[in-house]
Amino acid sequence: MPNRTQDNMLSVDVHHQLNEHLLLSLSAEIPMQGVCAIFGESGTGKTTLLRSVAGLFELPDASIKVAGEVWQSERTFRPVHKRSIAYVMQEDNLLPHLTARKNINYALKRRLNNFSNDFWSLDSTKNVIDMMGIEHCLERLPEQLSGGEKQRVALTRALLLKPKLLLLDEPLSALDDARKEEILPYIERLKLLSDTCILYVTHSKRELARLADRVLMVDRGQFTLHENVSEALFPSEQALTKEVLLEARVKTKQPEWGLQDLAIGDLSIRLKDNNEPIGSKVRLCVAAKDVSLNLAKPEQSSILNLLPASVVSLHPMQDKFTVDVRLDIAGRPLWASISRYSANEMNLRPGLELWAQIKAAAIMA
Amino acid sequence: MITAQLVDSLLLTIKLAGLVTISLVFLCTLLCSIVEKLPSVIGPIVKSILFLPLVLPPTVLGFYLLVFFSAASNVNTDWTGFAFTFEGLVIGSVIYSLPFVYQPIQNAISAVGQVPSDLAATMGAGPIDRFFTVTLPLAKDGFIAAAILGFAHTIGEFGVVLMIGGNIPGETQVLSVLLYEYVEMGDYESAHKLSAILLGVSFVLLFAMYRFTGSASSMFAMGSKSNGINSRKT
Repeated sequence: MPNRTQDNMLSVDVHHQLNEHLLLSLSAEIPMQGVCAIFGESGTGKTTLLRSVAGLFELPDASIKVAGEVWQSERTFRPVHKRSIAYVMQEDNLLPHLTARKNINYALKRRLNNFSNDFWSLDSTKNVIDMMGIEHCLERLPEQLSGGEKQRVALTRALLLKPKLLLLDEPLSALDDARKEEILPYIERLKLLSDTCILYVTHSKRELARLADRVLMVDRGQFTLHENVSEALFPSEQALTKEVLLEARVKTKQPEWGLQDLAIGDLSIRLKDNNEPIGSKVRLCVAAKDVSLNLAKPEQSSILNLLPASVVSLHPMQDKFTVDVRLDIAGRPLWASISRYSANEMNLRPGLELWAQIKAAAIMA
Repeated sequence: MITAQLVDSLLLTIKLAGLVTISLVFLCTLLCSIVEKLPSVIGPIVKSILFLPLVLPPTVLGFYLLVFFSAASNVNTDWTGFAFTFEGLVIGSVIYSLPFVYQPIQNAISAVGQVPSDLAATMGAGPIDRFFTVTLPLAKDGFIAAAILGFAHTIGEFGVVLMIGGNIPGETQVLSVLLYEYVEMGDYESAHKLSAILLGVSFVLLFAMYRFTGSASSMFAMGSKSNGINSRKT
């Protein structure tokens, strides 16, 4: 990992009985780059953790350090307004008596040392406003904006502030599915445009898969940091898992066929071109039902995406006619769901080398 | 006919009510932030004491204040004390009108809630900054209602004034006491005139409050969350 000094780490130490059902426990050093998701069921302490990082809630006996600055320790508690943060909640992110522009100004005036109204005519500001598509909202009061527009204004404010920490508490969960789809790309842009660390509370696997670089998994107050989102989401021990996430990079394009080649480590697969730029990182979601197995490499066929694999373990399913097979492709996990008949015919057993064919994969980002 | 006595008394009344209103708006805002955070044992006791003038006969309050003022001046004999002075009236009126200013302010602040203030804090605003740029503008109606009620109620007081202020022209002779004097002297014509003025003024003040501040002004909707943020949501 690149220079993991105190200067670019968020260290949080919490051990506190929040109520009789919930013991919050976390001790983590989180690199302050990219998106760290905080993922888990409702009522397990995600929001409490985020609020204490913001300083809105004082967790007793907690210690919070941000890039070398002590925000909370036994002796000190830095008040919210002196922490370099931006905070976006599910809703109510705008002061109701101020227009969108004045809401943004409210924060800029207090957070930026050299703020003046020229700020709005800077190219960089205009770009952000453009990118977030809120030009038409600026002179309106929050009550005249839709839920999605309000969230976009709040996200724009966060982006312009460039705080040390950007705290997002389920920013999409108050929106309906169509609005979520509308806002997700903006959050992805936020991630690309800002070099600040984002803590993103969510209980949606989809948002996690699309946005997170690392994840704090929480189960009844117990937090564990996972540097690898795919493994955290689909732990290999979990026999019932039907999907895996593969990290891939766009390698080359075949525009005449509408296809692109993606590199998964040293391996390569060919999928429909989704207009991701060459070199960009994507995640592939591969379902077990979309993977089939061959003992020999078929030479003449319409089949793409054959990868050498070895069988790790066999998991007979409850219906007695299907078997889920855990595979290993160059160190990465993959699952195939096949009939018990085929498993029997091929004489599948752990350690067997064969060819896995990926028939379809969803590109997540 | 408008006499010099009436004009003096009118000016004195406006001066008293104005001073009391201004002091109460500041005092109650401060008190709200303290009293509402008191632990559940002490909170109700303090609030009960503050709200006593709402139910107590004004003469009782006036009597105790008188006793207190003379005890205080007995300790220091050079000082004649607050009894039968304008300053004494201001102190008595502040206590007497406090519930009428406290309650609308408290209702309005609690209706605004913690969310906007927290939000402003995350945008870098300190506590005083937050009060003036967020809580106050959002609870504006409640503050206006509180000021109007405080002013009107101070004009309307009689019992406390009579007990601690007496009836000294230019010093403690406010309109309500002057009216009492007119009636005692059998000057019904002046009494009519003055009563009509007071009736008109009171109506206009209350009308202004209900017309311009909506339900925020309700003194009697104790602890209701009827305005501010909630009603802004659609």
